[in-house]
Amino acid sequence: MHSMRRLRSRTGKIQVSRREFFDLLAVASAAFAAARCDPSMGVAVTLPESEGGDELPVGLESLGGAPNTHQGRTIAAFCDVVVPGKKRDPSGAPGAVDVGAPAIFFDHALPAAEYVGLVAFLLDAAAKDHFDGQRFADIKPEEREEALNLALKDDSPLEFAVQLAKVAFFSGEKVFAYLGYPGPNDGYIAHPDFTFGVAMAREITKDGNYP
Amino acid sequence: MEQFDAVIIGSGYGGAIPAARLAEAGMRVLLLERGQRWTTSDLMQSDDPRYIAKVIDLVVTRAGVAFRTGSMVGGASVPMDGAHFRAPQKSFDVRAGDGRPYWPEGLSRNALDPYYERVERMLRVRQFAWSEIPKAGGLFAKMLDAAGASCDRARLNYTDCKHCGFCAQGCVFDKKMSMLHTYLPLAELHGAEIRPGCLVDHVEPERTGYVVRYTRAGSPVEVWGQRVFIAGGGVHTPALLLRSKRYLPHLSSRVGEEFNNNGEHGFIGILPPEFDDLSRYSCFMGSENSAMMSFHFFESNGFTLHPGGGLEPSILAASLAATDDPLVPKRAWGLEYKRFVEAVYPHRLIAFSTLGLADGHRAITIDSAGAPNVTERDRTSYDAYLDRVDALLADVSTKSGVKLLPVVPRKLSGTTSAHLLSACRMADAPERGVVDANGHVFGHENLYVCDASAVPYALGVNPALTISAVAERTAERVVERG
Ligand SMILES: Cc1cc2nc3c(=O)[nH]c(=O)nc-3n(C[C@H](O)[C@H](O)[C@H](O)COP(=O)(O)OP(=O)(O)OC[C@H]3O[C@@H](n4cnc5c(N)ncnc54)[C@H](O)[C@@H]3O)c2cc1C
Ligand code: SF4
Repeated sequence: MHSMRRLRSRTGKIQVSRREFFDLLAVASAAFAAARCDPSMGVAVTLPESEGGDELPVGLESLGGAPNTHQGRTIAAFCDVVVPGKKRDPSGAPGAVDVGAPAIFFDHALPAAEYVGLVAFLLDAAAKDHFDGQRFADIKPEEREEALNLALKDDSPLEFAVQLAKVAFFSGEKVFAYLGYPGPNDGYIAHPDFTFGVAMAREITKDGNYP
Repeated sequence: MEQFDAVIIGSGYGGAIPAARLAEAGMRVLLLERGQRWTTSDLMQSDDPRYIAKVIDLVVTRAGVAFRTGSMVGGASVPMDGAHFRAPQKSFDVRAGDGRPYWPEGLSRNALDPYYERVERMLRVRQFAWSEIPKAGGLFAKMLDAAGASCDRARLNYTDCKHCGFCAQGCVFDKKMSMLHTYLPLAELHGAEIRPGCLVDHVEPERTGYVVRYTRAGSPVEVWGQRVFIAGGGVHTPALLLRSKRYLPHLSSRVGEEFNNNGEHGFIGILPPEFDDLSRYSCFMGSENSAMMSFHFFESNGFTLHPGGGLEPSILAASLAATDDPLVPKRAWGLEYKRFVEAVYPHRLIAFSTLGLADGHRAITIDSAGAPNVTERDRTSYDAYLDRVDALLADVSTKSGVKLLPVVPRKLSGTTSAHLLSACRMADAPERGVVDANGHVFGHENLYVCDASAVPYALGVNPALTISAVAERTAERVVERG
């Protein structure tokens, strides 16, 4: 991962070894995948926020709650690649930006906020490597897809960011409505489609305990 | 310093049960719990990761794995999924590499049956009727039936369950007989004191008992117990013992070593459209445990299949293993992935996990700050177990037409685990384990471990009832000794 080497030499601010750092990101990914929970990582990574213009990234209608900074635009462009939104999805179904997933990356109640700089950096590095030195937010959506695909080829910490974007998407209330998940409820025991009510397989124990 | 006949650390199954039994026997009992005491009205039907992180302690270690354990008064009995099975005799018969059984002499299904029964009565555990099985469980059974396999109705501690699907968030309808409804009130009735918000750092021998050092609201506190029971759960108990190691010179070097995730490995099943009238099936309807259990592969291959239910969309956030099937997109993101999600949620999805008699492949260690960590150990045997599982499930998939995808890639197997066993396991001798058959820490009088970490090996079924039966037995022995 040459991007990581570059990152270290440029900022010198990462406090943990590279190996450990990859482990941590793998953990974060595992944690989100497994438990839809907040991995309390306890390691902060601070990267300097770089300057940038204030136009929306190509293909986006909003930043989904992310700040209008270079990092905010990069994360919004990234979320739109992970779950494309209305503008790029012919079906018009909401995407990660439409439901506010980018905001989750910047929510300080979750440790993800500590990784935003790194995620943006890695995305920019991937875009620069493959698209003539351009930044992730400045390339076209199809190019972003390709850049992300290439960046994910080897066990990249960006896997964690993909998981997070998906967790944020799937926990959005607009997504519940779109996928037909009602969320809180009074119980389905009396619903006509709750049970088959008849034996569906052969049983081999007397009472549910195997001897 | 305050003095007690018994100080118990942790208030899940392993802590609440001895607290009740020792208090009943007239002992002065203090129960220390790091989490808060929640009431039913504090619980929520919420999928917000920030809420779930309060109900369950997600122990994220630096080694790439995360475990779910208890975090409040009542421990994981509050957010757990209700399955309570007796362990089959085969689980007690498993032998270690040296040819000797993992379970110490005298412990068998028969020997534990009276204790199982006691716990089942307290928790009102019973087998569900077919009319109480949500369709998610019914379709899981149908998949197995189509593959020529059996599937039984499960045993749960839910009374009049409304099947809302939010069990892992804590039951807002008060239908789950957790420790908060059973053993903890019994302990209090007999004078035990439950002290929430107390994070125990370590224990130190003093006179014939132990000083327990903890922090409460940031301030250090110490109490003395004639007997001390450590029941912080499968990850925190070994960590606490490792932090206490310098004061416990005879502690077995096996602490943390045999850590075992009960062969838990998750799968998502995508039902073929022609499987049933799927337009009338919604995977979110029903309890989080869809109340079935397949023992079909247990005798021959040592694993069971335990289905989930009440499936919320974020179940799909986990990675998909790329397969060659046209149904499954190559990438778990992008437009194609979005279409896949729409095609399977909520009418074509089931989920389940294997539980099996598999070797551990990780050890619990602590970092320099004393926080729990996980160290990878040889996983050859665990991988061989997963190979067996994969081969048999591939056959189920072919015969039933249900596409089966692992929830996480193999390298992260066990990551979803809430079954955290054996890191302070029972054994016949300190070279092989940390506590004896009575839960007593080798080499240290009056110090006991009586939670998930004392269970000597994987069980192949959900562990709560066995943890409880062993805790009942340990408590009984201590009361008998006086
Ligand atoms: C979501 C979920 C679903 C589950 N479903 C099932 C199921 O259906 N069937 C089944 O059999 N099992 C299930 N389990 C597993 C089961 O709940 C556990 O095996 C069981 O609760 C373990 O009991 P324990 O007493 O060892 O630990 P816990 O229940 O984890 O209790 C340990 C307690 O100790 C406290 N503690 C830890 N460290 C300290 C410290 N240093 N100081 C003070 N207090 C401390 C913790 O806060 C916690 O309350 C599930 C678990 C989860 C999380
Ligand atoms: S499904 Fe049943 S036990 Fe679970 S939370 Fe709902 S009512 Fe409670």
